[in-house]
Amino acid sequence: MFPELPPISLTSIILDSVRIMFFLGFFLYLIFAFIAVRQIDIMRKTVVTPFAGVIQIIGMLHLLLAFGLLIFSFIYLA
Amino acid sequence: MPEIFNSAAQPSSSDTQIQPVVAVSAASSEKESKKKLSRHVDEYSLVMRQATPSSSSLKAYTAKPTDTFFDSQQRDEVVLLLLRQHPVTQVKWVFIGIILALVPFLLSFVGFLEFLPLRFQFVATLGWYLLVFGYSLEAFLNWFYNVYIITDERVIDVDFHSLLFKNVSYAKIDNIEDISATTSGALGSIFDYGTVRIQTAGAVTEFDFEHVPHPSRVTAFLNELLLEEEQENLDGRAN
Repeated sequence: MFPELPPISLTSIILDSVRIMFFLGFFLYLIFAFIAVRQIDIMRKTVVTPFAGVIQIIGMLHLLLAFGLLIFSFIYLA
Repeated sequence: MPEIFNSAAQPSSSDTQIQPVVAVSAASSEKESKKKLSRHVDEYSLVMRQATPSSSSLKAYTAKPTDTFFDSQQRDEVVLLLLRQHPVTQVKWVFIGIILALVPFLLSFVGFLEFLPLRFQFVATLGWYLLVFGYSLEAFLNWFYNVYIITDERVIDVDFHSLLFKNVSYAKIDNIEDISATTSGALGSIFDYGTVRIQTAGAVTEFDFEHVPHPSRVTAFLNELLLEEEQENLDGRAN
């Protein structure tokens, strides 16, 4: 009834699915990292401390890593 | 009619210009005199007298913090005490973070991702570590920015739940009706942390300073502030 797929074709379907899941996951994570940066900005304005600058740098680093991983996965898994 | 009566009935334009200036200067001098009369916290608080000013931002109990402000702080208002939850209460997320960081090693022993090519496994591991980093960052932010602030005028509770919800509550020291401190559990007794509950007559009727260090010291300080406010009212020094 159903066409029988050769093993290579089945593997490529699985890998393609995993690849799409990675891309989607990393894209959603990028949105989360962006929201985190915005929230850090609001937090910094609410309570001003000498450590706030360091936290902002960590938040920006987190966003950069999320963006970098998305780009890296596009290149590396393509 | 003599000239003098006309001038009394209708003040000259120069007089009308002077009057507001005099009123403003009188108000400012009154404010200045009140400011001079309001005492320094060390004069009336034993708790603050024993504490040294601190510039460290990572402490859970910071008396007289330097370079620390909040968004609705008034010009003459001074932050006297900044509180966070005791570090011991944060061990849970640190522990979870360490366990999560070890998961890829554990999975490599089991061979959970063996069915994927190496490059996929590598990207998955990178993604996992980024996730752990994000989790730890959010947990740290929750601890660092959920603060309780006591100024010479008000009590402020800053709450950030997750990354999307912010709530800041204020109560004037004058409005405080009841203060209680609760220390519970073995860890609370060993590390001297607990919950300070403040009941007020304001819009927010209850403030809970949860798991803060030295709850009895915080309560003593709040009582000293209350007494000082009452004294200010009696002396007519209240703002």
